[in-house]
Amino acid sequence: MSAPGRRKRRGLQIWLSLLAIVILGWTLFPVYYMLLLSFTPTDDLFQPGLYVEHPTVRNYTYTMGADNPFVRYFWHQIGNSIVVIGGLKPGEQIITLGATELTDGGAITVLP
Amino acid sequence: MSPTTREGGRRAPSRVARLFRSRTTQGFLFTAPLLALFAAFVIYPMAFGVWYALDADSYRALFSDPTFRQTVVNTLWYVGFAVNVKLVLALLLSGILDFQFAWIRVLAALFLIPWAVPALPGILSFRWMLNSQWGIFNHLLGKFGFASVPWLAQHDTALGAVIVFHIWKYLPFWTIIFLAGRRAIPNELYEATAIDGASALQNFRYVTFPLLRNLYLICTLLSMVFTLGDFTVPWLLTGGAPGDSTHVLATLAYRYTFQMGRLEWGLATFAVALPVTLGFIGLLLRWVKI
Repeated sequence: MSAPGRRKRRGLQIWLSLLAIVILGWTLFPVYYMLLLSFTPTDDLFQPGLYVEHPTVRNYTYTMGADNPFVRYFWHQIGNSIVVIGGLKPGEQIITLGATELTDGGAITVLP
Repeated sequence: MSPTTREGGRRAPSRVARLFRSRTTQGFLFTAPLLALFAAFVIYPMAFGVWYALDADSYRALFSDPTFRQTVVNTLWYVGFAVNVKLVLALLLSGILDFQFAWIRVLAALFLIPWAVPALPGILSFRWMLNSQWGIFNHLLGKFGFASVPWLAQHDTALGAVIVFHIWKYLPFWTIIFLAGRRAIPNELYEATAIDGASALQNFRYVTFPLLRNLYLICTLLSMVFTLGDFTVPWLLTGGAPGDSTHVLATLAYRYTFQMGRLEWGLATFAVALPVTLGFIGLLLRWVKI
């Protein structure tokens, strides 16, 4: 590639990287905050900050150990989710596929 | 015709047998399970709902309720504004994700996270960030010397939060749909415009957008139909607060039905939106050409 072409490509990459930083900040900050809250001890929940001062996995051991009246049925509920995802969704897909067969030849044209 | 036997010939099929041999009957028999399910779980509940929504008194009550009028305005903002901003952004972002650099794939994967994360933890995260007293936003505003904002405790910012969350959560999905649409455009067209010396803007204006137009319109309609019935985001983010001012139709119907015990008002709330939904579906079917 010629030198001006390479320079143009470099410029494009820089602009794209700047946009990517904005996009990633917008996308990932709430996810980061979600994870941060999950590692925060209860007493620190009301002290806002951008990082965890006293990280703890107690919230996870509580939940997974079903160690609290609110999460007593945690594993049973995980099981429910797996049944719904594993059983219902494929069934829905099969029914949907059958329904599209009924509209025989109904080609879905989204691109002209 | 009577079922007579002819010499050495086969017995003419009876009327019942002929009925069973007809392709139409066979088709109906094979689709009967689906039709029965459809009747039981779609037609019957809808007929039930329409029957309850026929009471004119409910509409008089609805239209004289200021909460309902506010709700219609909120729903127009949610469906008309949020969806369109989201789709314009998705169309532009799909152009960025369409570049063939290796790191763009990583960006696309990370960008999809909000869509893949269930709505509830995302909403809890937003609620915590937006809290007036211990939210991170007000904390940072305070650090830089600005006054704190009661994000979820006043109508405008609360509705804005619902709209922003909706865009945050569903932007990735529609971006990927538009990305697929862009990838379906034959590359020869861009080679031809490159020979003619077209700029990036001209490429978008004369090649990309005309070819994505149908997809864009269909996505707009689909997204509007999805959003019109959305309950999860407004209910979990604001719950209609402050003072029932940020309800949308779905959450208001829930409030009427389960908090005030007025099933007929709840169903009437949905019936008000039904002509709009049916219009959308009619347009969709015409555009998709089923």
